[in-house]
Amino acid sequence: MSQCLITVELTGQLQHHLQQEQLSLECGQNPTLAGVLFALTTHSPKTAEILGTEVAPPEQQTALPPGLLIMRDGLMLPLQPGTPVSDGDRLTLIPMISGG
Amino acid sequence: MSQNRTDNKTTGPLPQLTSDDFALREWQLDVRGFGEAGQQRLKGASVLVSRVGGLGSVVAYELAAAGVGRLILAHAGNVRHSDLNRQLLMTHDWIGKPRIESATRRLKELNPHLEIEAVPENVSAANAARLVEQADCVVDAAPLFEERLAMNDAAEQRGIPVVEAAMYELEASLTVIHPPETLRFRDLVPAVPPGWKRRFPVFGAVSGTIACLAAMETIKLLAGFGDPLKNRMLRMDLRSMQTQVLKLK
Repeated sequence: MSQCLITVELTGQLQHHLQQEQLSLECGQNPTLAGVLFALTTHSPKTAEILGTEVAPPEQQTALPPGLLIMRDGLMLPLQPGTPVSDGDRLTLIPMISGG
Repeated sequence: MSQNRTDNKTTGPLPQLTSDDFALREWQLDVRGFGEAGQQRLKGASVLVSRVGGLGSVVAYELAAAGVGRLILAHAGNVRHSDLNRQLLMTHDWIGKPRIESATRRLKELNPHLEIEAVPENVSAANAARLVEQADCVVDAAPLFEERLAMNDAAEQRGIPVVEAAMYELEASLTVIHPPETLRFRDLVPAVPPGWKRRFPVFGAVSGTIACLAAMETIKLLAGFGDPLKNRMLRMDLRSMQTQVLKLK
């Protein structure tokens, strides 16, 4: 079976680091948010540092990084590693930002 | 304690408007849904602004201009050169002197009737309850998530709404937190994000843009009109000039 392709729109610190507004990621056959994060942090290990997490396979992720919102079609997804996503989904990754 | 604890709720008589109030606020008194009663609610209200930096300076200035009666300003430290691209209550001649004094001075120039409690401390778990309980509404303009979490925890315990404003580079976001009607801040940020850095890229025009919107949300909450951003988050990308309102719940 082919890999599911997920498009992630990058915002904030992720966009600033990668100097890209979006990425297409291959996320396995039954992808979840944990799989998307694994694909992202494998593509760029620096993103793990930005999100305050480690590059870890989906089965090893017990929680999503604190302060990361993930939106699909304008709605916030449940912030659980096992939240399913689908081939062709377009997700927006929003690390929470602050002031100063 | 002021009379206007939370949005649209009044616990005592509203202050009377003076002829000076009418003259100064003439242009906004005609706003639909606001009027004289809205102006009275602003005059009777206290707002805590956590830090008067890039966001909080402009929020405080707009609230002072709108006629909010009392501001509690919390900000430690002295003015630095690097503050001056965005912290519009700070001035070059005040470099090396307390930020809170510069902010107070500038706000009083605009609105001498404004009551200011100037607190030369940043919000922390140690002082959050004491500062928050004096306010009808809180504006969170702090740089560190430790401050944001402490202030939101204290506000949640007391049922006080928090206007959450933030910026990064050319992006900005805004939402209103007021549990149980809305999500809790900890639903969005359960703990301090380990990757967040104290210093980040930003223009003052970005912080000023979202700060004006945060001030407007505060005015709406205090005066009880309009449709505040509860369970919704406004996101702006000033690079592309795209805006989105995301549904949080």
